[in-house]
Amino acid sequence: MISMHRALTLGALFGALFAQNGSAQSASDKDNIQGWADRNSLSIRKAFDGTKAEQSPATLLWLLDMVGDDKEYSVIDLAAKVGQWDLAPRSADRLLIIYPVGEYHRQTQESKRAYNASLGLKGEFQLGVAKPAAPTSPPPGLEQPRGSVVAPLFMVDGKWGRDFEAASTNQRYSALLTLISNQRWLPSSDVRDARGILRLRYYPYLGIEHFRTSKDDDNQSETFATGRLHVSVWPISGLARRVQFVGETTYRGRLSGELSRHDAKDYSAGLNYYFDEHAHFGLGLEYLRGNDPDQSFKFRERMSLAFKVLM
Amino acid sequence: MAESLTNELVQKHVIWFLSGATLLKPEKIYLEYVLKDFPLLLDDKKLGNLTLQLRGYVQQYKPNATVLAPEVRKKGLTVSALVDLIVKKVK
Repeated sequence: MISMHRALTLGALFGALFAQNGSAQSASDKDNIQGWADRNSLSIRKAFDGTKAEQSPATLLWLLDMVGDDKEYSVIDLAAKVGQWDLAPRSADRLLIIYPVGEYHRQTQESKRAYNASLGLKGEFQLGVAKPAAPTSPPPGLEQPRGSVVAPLFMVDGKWGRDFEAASTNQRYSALLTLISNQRWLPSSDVRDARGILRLRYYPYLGIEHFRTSKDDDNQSETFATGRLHVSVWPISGLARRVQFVGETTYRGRLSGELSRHDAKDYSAGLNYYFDEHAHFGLGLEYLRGNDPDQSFKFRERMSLAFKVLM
Repeated sequence: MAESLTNELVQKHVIWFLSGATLLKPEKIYLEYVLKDFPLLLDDKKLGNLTLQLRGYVQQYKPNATVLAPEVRKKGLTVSALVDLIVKKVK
């Protein structure tokens, strides 16, 4: 318990320092760094893998265990996205955006050793525009809104990485379709209560994922048909800005390949409590169970409590 | 056409688009609200769609003008800053 407390404290400290780009620096230095980050659309997260980890902050944790077998270990989960290129900047019917991402993950705990890094390119291709669903008619001078009830959005991802622990190289390619709509109860729309408080938003995904691992002369790959549902719920009306439930389930149906030789399932559920009304600082309890796509679909089940800083 | 477009009218139009993306009534959307924060809480996917709507709006008045997704997805962007951005584009 003592070690857990230390870990949380240190993790929170590292997280806060990192997210604020070094609070020990002068205010102007901080503004400069923040300004540079904003101009270059820099985002730092736990991962950019298309899952709810994209909403989780980076983790930099050092733990000193006073009684356990692993006396000291560290955990680093860091992903950065820099810049965004708009490939169709003049089109009012389609959005074509690409951006690079880099990830670094390391865990030195003996039973869960992990050490990998990757570079990737992600794309968002929205074809068509989802029309507004304002509760009032358009103000004077504004034409009737154009667009359709639902617009398809393709999330495309290519990632090349090295697993230093397993001495292997990995590739991952995916194309997932989700839907954008502003109509109540449809995917991505806001479901609000009578007071206008946001209560629910969800995204379904459907598509193809391909994983490839190479070690020495041995190449293994697997292709899946993937379905995912991501749900965010703000369950308590009076605390809607502070209490958030996030659930996600992913089912991968094996189409071909020999990497895992079975279908893969992954579930996660998280409860976040934010200390501020803008949901920047909080505590998050997360339960995770299923086949880990970053570890050749090995089964894992864990629960974690983390300090969250989202800037 | 753009000459008859006052800043106040552009503000009304932009707030109406935000109302259409969040399902909040226009009178409940205040200029100081940050797009990515409560109560709007627009994520990048929704802001991408909003970009397309605003592009179409801007090009009605200035066919050569455009709105970029990184401009609308910018961290900390307020309703007021978005209105200023669109005013600059249509004038």
